[in-house]
Amino acid sequence: MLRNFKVLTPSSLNETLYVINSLKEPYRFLCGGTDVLVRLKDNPNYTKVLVDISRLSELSKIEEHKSTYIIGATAKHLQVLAYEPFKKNYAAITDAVSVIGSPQIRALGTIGGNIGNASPAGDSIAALMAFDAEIETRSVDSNRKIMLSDFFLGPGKTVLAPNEIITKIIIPKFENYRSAWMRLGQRKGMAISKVSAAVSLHYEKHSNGSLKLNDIKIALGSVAPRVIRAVKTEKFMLLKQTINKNMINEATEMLLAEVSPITDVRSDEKYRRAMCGELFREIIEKLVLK
Amino acid sequence: MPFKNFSEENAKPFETVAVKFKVNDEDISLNVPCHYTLLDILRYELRLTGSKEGCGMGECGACTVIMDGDIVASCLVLCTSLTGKKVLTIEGIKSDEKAKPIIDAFIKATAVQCGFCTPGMVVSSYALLKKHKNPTNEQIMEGLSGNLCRCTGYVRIVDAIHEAAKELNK
Repeated sequence: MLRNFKVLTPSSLNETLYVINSLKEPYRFLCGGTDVLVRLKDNPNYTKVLVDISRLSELSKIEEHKSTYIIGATAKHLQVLAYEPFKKNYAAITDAVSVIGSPQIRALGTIGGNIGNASPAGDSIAALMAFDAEIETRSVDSNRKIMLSDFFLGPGKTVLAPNEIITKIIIPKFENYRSAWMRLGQRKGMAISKVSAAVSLHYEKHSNGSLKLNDIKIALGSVAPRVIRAVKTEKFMLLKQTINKNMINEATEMLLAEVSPITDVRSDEKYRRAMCGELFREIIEKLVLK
Repeated sequence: MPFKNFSEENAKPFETVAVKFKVNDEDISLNVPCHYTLLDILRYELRLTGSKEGCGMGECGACTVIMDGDIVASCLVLCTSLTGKKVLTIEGIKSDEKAKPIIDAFIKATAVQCGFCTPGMVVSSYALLKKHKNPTNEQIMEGLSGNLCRCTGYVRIVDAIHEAAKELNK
């Protein structure tokens, strides 16, 4: 049985900011509980203080603005899945969120939690990163916007200060982009990804049948200490512009030079590297050639 | 899951919290230790022992209940997050006439062996059949992807859900 910790239950964002600013000891946010409670049951010393933010309704909405979509940090995975504009234009995000945990987990877990957890395998992270998502954080005396690709320092580590909280995930609007997210896991349900990749791109077809790439964003999970953007490969592809088999082959080679996977319980370095290339190739072919 | 490394040192007096929520349409108002999960409250305080504790980590689905319309793992809902929620357990579902065909189909298809996963399976099936009147095999697998069964091999559970859907659509 869990015991020996206390739970603070602020009822508004301002109260939360005040609480975390005055807390002297280390604490953890509790919202969905799908990670925090599992760790706490496993290790009684995981944390002595929980700050339960599940009742902060001001952070739980998904909204459309003029040039952005804003996901509140405590929005559940299920809410993201049900949000119509994402289904149409942000397929990578729905692809990724639809396989997180199980239905029972997706009804509890939150997007802010998936990000704050900072797992190199966090499923929603690569998909959001492939859309240049930004994180908004708040503290009693600050309000920061941080690119998601700059938010992580390593496994479980972020640039978040002890008195800061993630409040929003901001996704710019993209017109006529296509995107997809794919992963390799042990099985379909309740699996942690061995490798995952998300790509969003914009291209046009010329009258002579050639395909011209206008923009591409590539994000990769579980192949580095944090989810990464393959910036060099993106630049290379934009320079080449014309999409064909040859270009995809060269880009895949380049991509493999950008990743640094490890061997762990789920998979080994060699396999991860090989599969990262294959996932990338499959996504590009799905988005462009088919 | 019971706590690892449990020792006297960890067994300090705990704080209690007041929780107010609904279980099976009944108002519940309780003071419980702050480490209690929804599953602990159901089993230890309310004696609704249909929901089981399997893994205690949200993987097995034996503790599945419906909270505000969605199936959740009740072992991962801490009591402090419960205020204002509406919870429907297997005991509540049992009295809905729409659940009877599901339960009958589970028995008829021998979708039950040891029975430990069954309450969770029935809760997930009930939620699934509310969403999809005529679920495909794929929708059933997806709907049950958070429920583990180590006896049946799932085939008969899937059969039972198809059978229940037929009965419900009559």
